[in-house]
Amino acid sequence: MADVVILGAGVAGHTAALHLSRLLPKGNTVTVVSPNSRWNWIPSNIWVGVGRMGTEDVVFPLEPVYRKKGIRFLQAKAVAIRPEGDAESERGAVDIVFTGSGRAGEGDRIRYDYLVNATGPQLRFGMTEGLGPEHGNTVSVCTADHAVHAAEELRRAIAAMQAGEEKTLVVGMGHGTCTCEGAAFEYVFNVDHELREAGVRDRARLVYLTNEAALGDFGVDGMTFEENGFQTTSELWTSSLFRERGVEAILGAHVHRVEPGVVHYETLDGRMHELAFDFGMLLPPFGGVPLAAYDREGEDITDRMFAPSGFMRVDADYSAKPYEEWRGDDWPRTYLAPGYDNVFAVGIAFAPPHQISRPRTSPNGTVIAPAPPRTGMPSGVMGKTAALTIADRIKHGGDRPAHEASMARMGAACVASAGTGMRTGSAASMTMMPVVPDYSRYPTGRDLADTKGELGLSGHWMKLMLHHMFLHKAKGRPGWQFIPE
Amino acid sequence: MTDNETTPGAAPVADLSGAPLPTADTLRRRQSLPLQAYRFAAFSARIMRMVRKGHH
Repeated sequence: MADVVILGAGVAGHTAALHLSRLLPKGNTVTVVSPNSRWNWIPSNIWVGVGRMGTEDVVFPLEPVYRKKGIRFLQAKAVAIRPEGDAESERGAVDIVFTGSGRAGEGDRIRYDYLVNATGPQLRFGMTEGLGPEHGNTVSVCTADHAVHAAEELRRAIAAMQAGEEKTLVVGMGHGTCTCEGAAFEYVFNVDHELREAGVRDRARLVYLTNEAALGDFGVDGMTFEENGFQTTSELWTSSLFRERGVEAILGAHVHRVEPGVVHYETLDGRMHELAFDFGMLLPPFGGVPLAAYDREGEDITDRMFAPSGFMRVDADYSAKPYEEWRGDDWPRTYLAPGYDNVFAVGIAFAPPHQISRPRTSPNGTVIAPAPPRTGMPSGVMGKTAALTIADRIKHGGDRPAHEASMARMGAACVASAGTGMRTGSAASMTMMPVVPDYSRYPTGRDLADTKGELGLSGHWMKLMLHHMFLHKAKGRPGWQFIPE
Repeated sequence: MTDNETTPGAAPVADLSGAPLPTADTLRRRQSLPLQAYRFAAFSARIMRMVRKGHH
């Protein structure tokens, strides 16, 4: 009998927990440790952020789902892991601090036979002065509550425009090393859609401020599509949408600070600029959730287990080498932490070996490099892969080979909403295969048969279907296991 | 960064004048119910193919 502990209940952790609950024989335990009591389908926060959905449409309480599935849920945050155990026991342990359930602030140490670190991102608004909704001057759609606030601010701006005022709205990335450009892309086009619906588009200057060096980069170095017998790029395809909708784009930008109503940013040529705005939604950079690590003697091994970014090292090639020498094989396959065949890091929690998009530095030494996206589909696949390995090893022996799912082999779909409505909606639907380009297998880095982009109403239906399907799956409702990650 | 390095009012907006604009026919196709129903099916099939090829 074994105890599995999962840190985090986002896409990766929750997927791992659900699969383990069905795969493991009775007598084994699955414990989820998460500081949040609710699950959030984050892709739909975009619609909360423009007022088209409410919080209740995108979140649900985790505890009833876990109770039904026989999963133990601790509303707590992990603060340290002890992969070799401690003086009392050689079994691995996690130090946690409760954040709810009437035990807030109380500490505990829980033992595990298998550990899955799926702690997701820490939203590092603090890396840019004046960024964020809590202590800064911008709004965010990273959480459902942030998105509700964003919708209120947007509504206020629209009301002022309806009263005859002109406004500048800026949407994008709040730091040069941000990821999730797709989310900002979605939000800017949903804002555009709302402005048109409200009849005030002509009173708004809408600006997309991004760390991408080119439109359509999306943190994955862009994509090549085959269309009507020609190869075209995601840059041209995306630029067309920006031109059609009249959205201005500022590229290769690192935001240094945000004062009330003014963004101060640097561009790749090293020049400093200011942009006055009335409404600003800028995403924060992500870091790993702070976790310390100790060996059995209590020595701090945090630097060995975690990259400086706070993400956990796994079976990737982290050796420093030039961009031209980066390979798909550098990317992890099993998500096992080196030296520990029972500790996994999945989803955003694992340390990527390098960027996918070409990293750039301004003449001032400012790094302006989109971080690799690893949310959504890849996160779910990684969570399931860790669950399959753990279930195999518990049922058939610890020497069973680990299951593999490299981002250099798996595909991903990104459906970026560009406006809601069953008849009037629109979305940019993209698929890429694989996520990490592999130039040794494909001249353009990706399989052209599966790397596609299209715009249209069907994309809106697709995004709406994914919303309902993944909420159904996350709630563990009948047939959930047949819905792919 | 110093203030005299800043260039206020000179936002380096990308020149998108070379990007192709969709024709009226393309815009109609993007909202056409029968065509979009077909595109929905085609996109779903592609995702399922990717799932089969790339997942485990």
